[in-house]
Amino acid sequence: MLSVLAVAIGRITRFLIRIVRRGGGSAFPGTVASIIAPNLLRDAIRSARQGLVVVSGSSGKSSTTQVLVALLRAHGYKVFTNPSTANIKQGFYAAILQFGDYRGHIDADFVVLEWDEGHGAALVESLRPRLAVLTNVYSDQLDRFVDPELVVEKLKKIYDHSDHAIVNINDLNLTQFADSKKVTGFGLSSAIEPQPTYALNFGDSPIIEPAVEVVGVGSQSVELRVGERNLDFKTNADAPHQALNSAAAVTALLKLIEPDWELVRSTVSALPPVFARDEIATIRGKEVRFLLCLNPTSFTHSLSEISDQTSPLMIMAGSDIHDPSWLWTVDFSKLKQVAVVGGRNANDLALRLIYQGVKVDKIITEADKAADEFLELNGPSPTVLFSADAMRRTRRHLGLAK
Amino acid sequence: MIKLATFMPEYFNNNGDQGNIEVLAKQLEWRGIQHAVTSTDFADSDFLLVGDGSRAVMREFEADLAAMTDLLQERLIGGKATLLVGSSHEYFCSKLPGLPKLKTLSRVSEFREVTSGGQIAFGYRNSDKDIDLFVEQAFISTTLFGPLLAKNQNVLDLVLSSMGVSTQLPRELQSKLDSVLQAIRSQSLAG
Repeated sequence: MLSVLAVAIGRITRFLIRIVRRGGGSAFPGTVASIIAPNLLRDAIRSARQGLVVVSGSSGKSSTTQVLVALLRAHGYKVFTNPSTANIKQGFYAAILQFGDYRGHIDADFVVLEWDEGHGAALVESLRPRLAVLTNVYSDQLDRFVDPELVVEKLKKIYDHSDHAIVNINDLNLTQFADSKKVTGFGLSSAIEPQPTYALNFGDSPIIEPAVEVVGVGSQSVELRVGERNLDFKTNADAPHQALNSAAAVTALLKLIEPDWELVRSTVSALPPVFARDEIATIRGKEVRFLLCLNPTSFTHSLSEISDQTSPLMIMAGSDIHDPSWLWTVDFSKLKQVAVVGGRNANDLALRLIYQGVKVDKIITEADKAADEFLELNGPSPTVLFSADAMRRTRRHLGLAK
Repeated sequence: MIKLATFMPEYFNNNGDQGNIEVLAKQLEWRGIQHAVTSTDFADSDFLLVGDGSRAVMREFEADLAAMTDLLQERLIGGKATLLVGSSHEYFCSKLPGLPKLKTLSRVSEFREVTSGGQIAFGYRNSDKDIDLFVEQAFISTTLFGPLLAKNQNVLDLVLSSMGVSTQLPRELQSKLDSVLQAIRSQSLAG
């Protein structure tokens, strides 16, 4: 009864918010539903026939989840998942409001959830995942997590309360707590550069053999070794850290079902990019390239993907960057000029750019105004690098939000 | 030649603390003053930075940090331009006579304006310690991590002055920096 009430009120709240703000309003209705019926999430997950799979870690959660969900669906399974970046408690409840029935039950074989490390650790005891996919630990979001060791503690808790885990074998922060009997590993061949920079760890290096290893990355292609089999596919997620996400998803698939490898190849090759993970969209008659930058690693990668002659270029730092100090760990010095620096933390970003000798033309803290100014500019290669909050606001303003 | 020294920059760079070295180097470059950055030769350096390290880093390099104690004691007594940040602030406050003894409180994570030694400094603190800033002449020890010198013109001026730098930046450049700094400060403190 409480579940029916929670779903009804949550949906009405969502409807009302969306009248006022197009594309917005998923977190608050989820909060409302969770207050009315705290067991809504647990009961929804229990209604899935083949259990819960969670994906957590500092980075790569959205992409890994997207690939795994696509692979399971391609194999004929019904999958319930949370929308990309709605990876905190309210987001899970909001997903049930959106996709569940009037009782909050879901018609799914698998539930695959992208889990924020902190929120996941708080939920894991009650939800007991069948499988946890742990991607990595970066020295990231220290304003929130204080120290990478505290992130390790949260991921270990998720690991402890899951039946089995898929673990990045290159990251000591994960392998040090992983029992080889309970994990299946994925990794990146040491021959591939650049290797991701995980949070510093000076401890032991337990050896876990990878079930799936990234053995090749090229221009829009990735090659995995799966046992004795080589699996290559086309993808624009061809950076080493992105290829690892595909490897994580394929490893999870291997643990969950008997894969049809031709289907795996064709499915991954056909995947569209997660929005703004290097996507070109036509906006107001212009082809604009969007690159999402969530942390120093993805910022550095995005900068390596664009030419120093990119013009016009807009870089946005939104309110998701609570303390913008980490922008000073990113090397912007290859850039000559940034036409618009936008987002709530635009001034912090501009300060960093000025000290790296980059010419900054305009600083506009409102994302919508920054986007409008940017789209007025002429140039051969309109490109936007933005953080998650700036991406959401820009997307909403440009009518790209669903 | 002005010598800017930084201790193990590859490890003590949580939250972009090494940006403080970049700020000084750029300020000197803008003024046309010769300078060099070293991470191996700390003796007689005009400025020394020991940034914030993770818990793993502090354990791994504890002996190396301890070996810096005498040098830092001399710099403290002499009031030489020095910046200790975050975990290094906490570590040396427990080691150096003359630095405050820190008490542990509840952790508070926020932008904050703090004062010490006649200086006001603004920045982000994420600490469970009671003292955010210690300034004596040009020796600075703080919980405020990240590019402290970039965000605090008065503290930057203090450090530059202690290194014998008296020239000003071109007016247009200084004006642009001032405008950005004012916007950062008012927005951050407004929450």
